[in-house]
Amino acid sequence: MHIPDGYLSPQTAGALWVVSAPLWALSLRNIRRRMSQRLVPLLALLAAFSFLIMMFNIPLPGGTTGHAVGGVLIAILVGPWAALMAVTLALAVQALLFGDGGILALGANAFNIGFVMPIAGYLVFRLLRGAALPKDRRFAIAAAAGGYAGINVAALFVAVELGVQPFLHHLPDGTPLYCPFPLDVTIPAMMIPHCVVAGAAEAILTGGVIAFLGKHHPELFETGPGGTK
Amino acid sequence: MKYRTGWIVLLLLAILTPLGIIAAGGAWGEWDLDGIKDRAGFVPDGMRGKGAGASEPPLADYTVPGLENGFVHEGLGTIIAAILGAGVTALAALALVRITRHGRIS
Repeated sequence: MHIPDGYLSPQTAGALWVVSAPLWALSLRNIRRRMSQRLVPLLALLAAFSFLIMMFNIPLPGGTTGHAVGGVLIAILVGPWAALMAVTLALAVQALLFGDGGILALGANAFNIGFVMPIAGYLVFRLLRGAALPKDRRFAIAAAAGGYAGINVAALFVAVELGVQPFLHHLPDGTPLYCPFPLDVTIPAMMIPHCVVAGAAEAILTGGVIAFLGKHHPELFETGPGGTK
Repeated sequence: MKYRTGWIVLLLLAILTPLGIIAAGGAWGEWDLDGIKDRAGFVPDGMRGKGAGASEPPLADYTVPGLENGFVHEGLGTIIAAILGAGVTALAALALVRITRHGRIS
């Protein structure tokens, strides 16, 4: 899911920086204006959590590996805008210190993993949650469904961004200049393992943590954006 | 410390991260240039010099220099990388929020 440098053309990578920059600005504005001081250490904790959870690689069908992200869990606890900042920072540290995901591709990765995933998963969660309270089973199931949806929508964005490269950028004889695999390769390669395994991992993580916190720490949900008040 | 239990859980996760490197194979679409060549049959011109590993980051692939060989060393290196990365991420979040809100870090 972390696109390395070289897979996207500089134009695509640059365009996604341009898309992500105003989203980061909105995220910072949201944190400045709307986030209660009480939630600030929680945001830092969740950013670190996202960094760590992405280190747990699980085997996927097809001989590759993948991991959960925690993006939707963070969105439910502190809101999708704050989640964008938390995940972006984890991705930046991964790219700069550990070479996991490109630096030129950081705009793309932040957009896919930090924005698309939390926002898509959060919308699914809000839709399914109805009037359920944090201690209710339905609340946790909605969270799990959000996690499943979020990581898969993000994987689809990654697959499309990679898969359009051969069409957008090739030599006159058709030889691709960047990611050489077209959409009919990238989409199944990304989506089958994510729909079957990585999505399930994200669903279990999101639903499990939310179920635990909803039962034992319902105060976390009182004033947050997933707020019950 | 606020959210003390949460931080303890993170420390436990960091200690468990060596489990995360057992799974064989890498992520789809995150290969180095050799991996691309194996799968596509050639290395696209635009990827040369830019593929993963072109500019070596300080702790590439979550390994610590000197702690690469053998599972115990590698595991220890992974734990150090995990604690370092998670710590830097959390501090960056706190610093960014403070700058956003107060225009300064302290």
